[in-house]
Amino acid sequence: MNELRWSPNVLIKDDAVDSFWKEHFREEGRRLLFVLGKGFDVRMNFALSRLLDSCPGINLECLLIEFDEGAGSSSLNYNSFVTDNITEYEKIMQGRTTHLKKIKMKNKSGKRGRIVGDRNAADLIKSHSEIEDFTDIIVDISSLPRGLYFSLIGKILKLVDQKQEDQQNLFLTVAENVKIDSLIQENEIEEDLTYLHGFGGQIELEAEKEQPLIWFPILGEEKIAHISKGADKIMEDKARLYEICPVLPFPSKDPRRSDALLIEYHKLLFDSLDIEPQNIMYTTERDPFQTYIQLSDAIANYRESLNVLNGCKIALSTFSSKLISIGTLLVAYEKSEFVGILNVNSGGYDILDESKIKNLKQESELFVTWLTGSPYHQQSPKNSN
Amino acid sequence: MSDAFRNPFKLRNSEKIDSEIGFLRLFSPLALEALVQKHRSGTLWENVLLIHSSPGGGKTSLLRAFEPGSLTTLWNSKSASDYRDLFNTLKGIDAISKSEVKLLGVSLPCTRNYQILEELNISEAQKKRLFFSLLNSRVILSTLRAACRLKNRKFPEGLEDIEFRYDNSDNYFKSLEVPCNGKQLFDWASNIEKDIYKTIDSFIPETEISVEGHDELISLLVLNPQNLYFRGKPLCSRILFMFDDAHKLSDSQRLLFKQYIFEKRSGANIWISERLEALAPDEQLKSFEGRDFEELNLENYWNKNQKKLKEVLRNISDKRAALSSEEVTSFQEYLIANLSETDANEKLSLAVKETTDKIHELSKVTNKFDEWIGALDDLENETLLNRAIRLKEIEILIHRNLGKNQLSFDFPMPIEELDKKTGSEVTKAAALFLSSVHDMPYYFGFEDLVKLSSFNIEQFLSFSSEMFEAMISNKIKGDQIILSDREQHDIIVKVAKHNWKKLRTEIPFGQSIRRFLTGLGEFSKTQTFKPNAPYAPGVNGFAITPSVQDKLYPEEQWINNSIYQPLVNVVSTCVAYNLLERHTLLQGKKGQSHTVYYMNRWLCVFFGLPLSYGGWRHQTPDQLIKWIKK
Repeated sequence: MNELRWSPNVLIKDDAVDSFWKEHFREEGRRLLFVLGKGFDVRMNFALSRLLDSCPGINLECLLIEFDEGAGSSSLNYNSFVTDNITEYEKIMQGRTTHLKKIKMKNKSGKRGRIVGDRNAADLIKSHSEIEDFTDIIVDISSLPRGLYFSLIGKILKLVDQKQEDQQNLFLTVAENVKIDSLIQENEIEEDLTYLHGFGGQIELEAEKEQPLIWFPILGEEKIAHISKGADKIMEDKARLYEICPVLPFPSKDPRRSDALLIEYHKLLFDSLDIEPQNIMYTTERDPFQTYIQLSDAIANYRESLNVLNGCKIALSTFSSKLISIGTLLVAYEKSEFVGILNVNSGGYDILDESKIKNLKQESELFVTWLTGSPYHQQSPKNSN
Repeated sequence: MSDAFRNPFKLRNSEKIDSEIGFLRLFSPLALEALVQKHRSGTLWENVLLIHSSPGGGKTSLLRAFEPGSLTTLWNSKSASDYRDLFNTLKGIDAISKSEVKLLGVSLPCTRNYQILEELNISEAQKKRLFFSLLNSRVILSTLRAACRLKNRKFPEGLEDIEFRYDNSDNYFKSLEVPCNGKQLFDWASNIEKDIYKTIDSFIPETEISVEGHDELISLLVLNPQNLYFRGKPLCSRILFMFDDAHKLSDSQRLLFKQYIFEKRSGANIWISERLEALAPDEQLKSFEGRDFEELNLENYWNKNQKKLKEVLRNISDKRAALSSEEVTSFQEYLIANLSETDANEKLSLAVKETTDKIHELSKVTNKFDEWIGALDDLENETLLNRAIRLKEIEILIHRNLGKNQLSFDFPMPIEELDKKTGSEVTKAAALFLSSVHDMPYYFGFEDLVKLSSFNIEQFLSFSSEMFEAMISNKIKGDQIILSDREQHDIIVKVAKHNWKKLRTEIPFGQSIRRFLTGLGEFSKTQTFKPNAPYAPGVNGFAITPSVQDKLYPEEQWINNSIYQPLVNVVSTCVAYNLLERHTLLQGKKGQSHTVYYMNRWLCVFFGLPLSYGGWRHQTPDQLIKWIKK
C-alpha cells in the first residue's frame, strides 16, 4: 500500500456542512478568503449563501473571478443569468469586500487563439504574501470551468504547502447536482488539447516517451466528442505505447448509471478504441477522496508492473462531475512528476432548459473537501472519512 | 489488443493501429504516388517539402511510412507478397534497398507545448532562443531514438553504440564535449528539454531562466549522415526530418521556423506537414515567394488523380475488411452499384406518368416541341428507368427553351436538336430531379462512397464503417450481406444528419457555422432545382467576389475589415474542419484564378445536392455575411 497524503481525509457532506461551518468559524481570529467564479451557473452563490447563513458574523473577503471566454462564446447568451447571480451575490455579501479579477480564457494574439485560462488562473495569486493574512481559504468550484480551477487550486496548494508550519485551512466546495449538469451542455470543443498548467506530469518530454502512457478518462454523459478528442491526443504519438482505462462512476446515486454509460460509449470504447474490458474500473461518484485513493492505487499498480520499462506516465481526464474531478486533481498534484491532467476545453456552454435549471438549484448538495490545515496536523482528525 | 477487429473500419486512422505490421497491412503504396512523382522530377530529396491537407487527409499516415519502425518491418518482410508493392515503391524513391534501409526518418510532432512559450513573461529574443532550444533538443532526442530503432537496438542501451563525430567547428556546443557518443548527446539534449519544461509547467518557476539557448536550429545542421555512426560504420545514407502538424506552432514560431529553414538551405531533407488555413492573409507563403521548396497538397493531388484515389480507397477498404473477425471479408462487392428497378418500379411508373403530363402541359402553348413529344412513343421500348430519365431530360430542355427571351418562330424543333442539347450534365440533373421528387435512392455504390470521401481517407472510413456495420448485421441476421441501394442511401443520409447534429456542439463558432451552411445549402438547392437546371447537375460551392464598389480593392481589403470578421471566422473554421473544400480554379480571362469553396460532400448529401464539382456561384462578402446573421 503506498503512502497517501490525503488518507485519512476530511469530507463534509451536505447535511453536515452547516453545523461544520458554525463549529469551525466559531473560533476567534478566523479570517476567510472565499474564491468563486462569476458565471451563469445557478449554483454560483449556493455555497457562499449557505456559509453566510450559518456564520453571519464571519470575517470574509471574496475573490470573484470573471472569466472571458471570447466574443464568440455561446455562454454570452446567458448574460441575464450572470446578472441575476450578481444581484443575489451583492445581496448576500452585504457590503463585504470583493476583489474582482478578470481573466481571459483565450489569448487572441494568434489567428486561432491559444488557451491560456489555466495559466492566467494560476497567476491570479502570485505569491503567498497575497494570502498570508487569511487563516482559511475556500475555493468554490461550482461556477468555475475545469480549465480554470485545476491550475488555480494547484497554485494555492503549492503556496500553502510552502509554509510547513501553521498551514492555512484550504477547503474546496462544490454544489453537486447531476440534473443541472445534464442541462448544461458544453460546446465548441477546442481543437488544441493540452495538459493543464502545472499538471503536465512531464508527459510530453521527448526524452521520456519510451515510458508508456496510461489514460484514465472518467466518463460522464454525452461527452463522446470530448472523449474522442482526448483519445486522439493520447494516441497522437504513434511510437508510444498506451493503454486506456475508462473509469465509470459506481457506486452512484443512480445505480444503473455506469451501465447506461457503457451502452452510450460502447462503439467508441470497443470498436474505435479497441479497449480491453478488463481495463474498465469503477470509482465512487460521491467521494472525491475515494476517487483519489482508488486512482492512486491503480496508478501504483501500473507503475510497479511497468517498472521494467522505466515506469509509465499517467494522464487523467474528467468528463464527469466536478466532485469526482477533485479526486483527479489531488492525484495529479501529489504525483506531479508522472501524472498529468488532460483537459478538453469547451469554448462555450448551452443551457438546454432555462426555466427548469433555476428551479433545480435548491436540490443541489453541498460537498466540502478539506485539503490542508488543522486536521492534517492532528493524530486523529475529526470527521475523518 | 487483438489482431482481428469486429468492425475494422471504425479504427479511424491507420496510424492508430498498434503494430508496424498492422499499419503496413492497411497502408496502400498508392498513397505514395505523389512522392514518386516528385522523386522522378528530382525534387524529393535535399529539399524542403510542405505537405498540406485537411484533418484526416492522410498526412500522418504518409509520414509514418518513413519511420524506422515501418521501414525495418517492411524490409524484414520484403519477400512476402502482401508487402511487395510497398517495398518496390519505397525502393523506387530510394528510401530502402534490397540490402538495407537507407533512410533514417525522424518524426517530430509540433503539438507539444511549443505555443505556450509565447505566454512566458520574457523578451521576444528569449522566446526565440527557448523555442529553437526546445526544437533542437527534441530533434536530437528523436533522431537518436529513431537511430536505435533503425539499428534494432534496445533504447536507451543502444545509444552507447552511436557515435556523434561532429567536431564543433562552428562552436555550437558549449556544455557538451564533442565528438561524443549517443548517450552523452542524448543526456545533454534531455537536460535542456527538462529545464525548459520546468520553466513552462511550474506553478512557481525559478525567476532566472538558465537554459542553454540557441539562435539557430543547430540540430538540423549537425545531424547528418557524415556525423552519425553506428559501431564504426555510417548510420544511414540519408536523414529525413518530418515535422508533423506544424500549424500547431504559434504564428510567429511558424514564421521563424520556416524563415530559418528556407534561408539556411542546408540541403537537409525536411518535410513539414500542416493544415492549410483559409482566408489567413498568407503572409507566410508570400514572404517565401521565390524560395526553393516543394509543395504537396494531398487533396489537390487526389482531386487531379481521382482514379488513383478510387484505387487507394478500394485497397484500403479491402484491407480493412480482411481484418474483420466477423467473416465479412470483402467490401466493395457487397455494395449494389445500380438502382434496383424492381424496388423502384412503382415510383418510376408514377414518375413517367407525371413527367409525361407535365411535358404535355408545358408544350400546350407552342408547337415547337411537337417532334420531341412525338418521339416519346419511341421510349416505350426503353426500360422504365431510362424512360423516366429521358422524360426528365426533355422536361428540363423544354424549360430551358421556354425561358429564352430571343424571338423565335414556333417551328417544331427537330429531334436531332433534342439529342444535341442533352449533355451528360443534363442527364445527371435529370437523375437527381427524379430521385428528389419521387424519393428514390440517389447516394449509393462504391463510386459514390469515393466521392463522399471529399478526398479525405478518414471521412471515407466514417461512411464505410457504417456500411460495414450494416453488412455485419445482415450476416448475423442470416440475410444476404449485400447492401441494397436503399440501405446504402439511408445509411449515408443518416451519417450526414449525424454529422450535422454534431456541428453545433463540436466546432468553434458552431451556431454561426450552421446558419451559414444552412444559407449556402438553401441557396444551392434553389439554384440546383430550378426547372431548367441552369447549372446542371447542380450548385454546391461559391467563390467570394468583392461587391462592385469594392472591386478595385484586393481581397485582403475586406478580409481585414472588422465588419467581416464573423465571415472570416466562419469560412476559415469551415476550411480548417473540412466543411468547405478550397479549390483553386483557372477560369475566365487568361490566367485568372478563383478560389472556390465547395461544400464537403457529406454536406451535399445533407442538403440533397449532387456530389459533382463545377457548380459554383459568385457571392459578395455582404451576401455571405447575411447567411450568418439570419
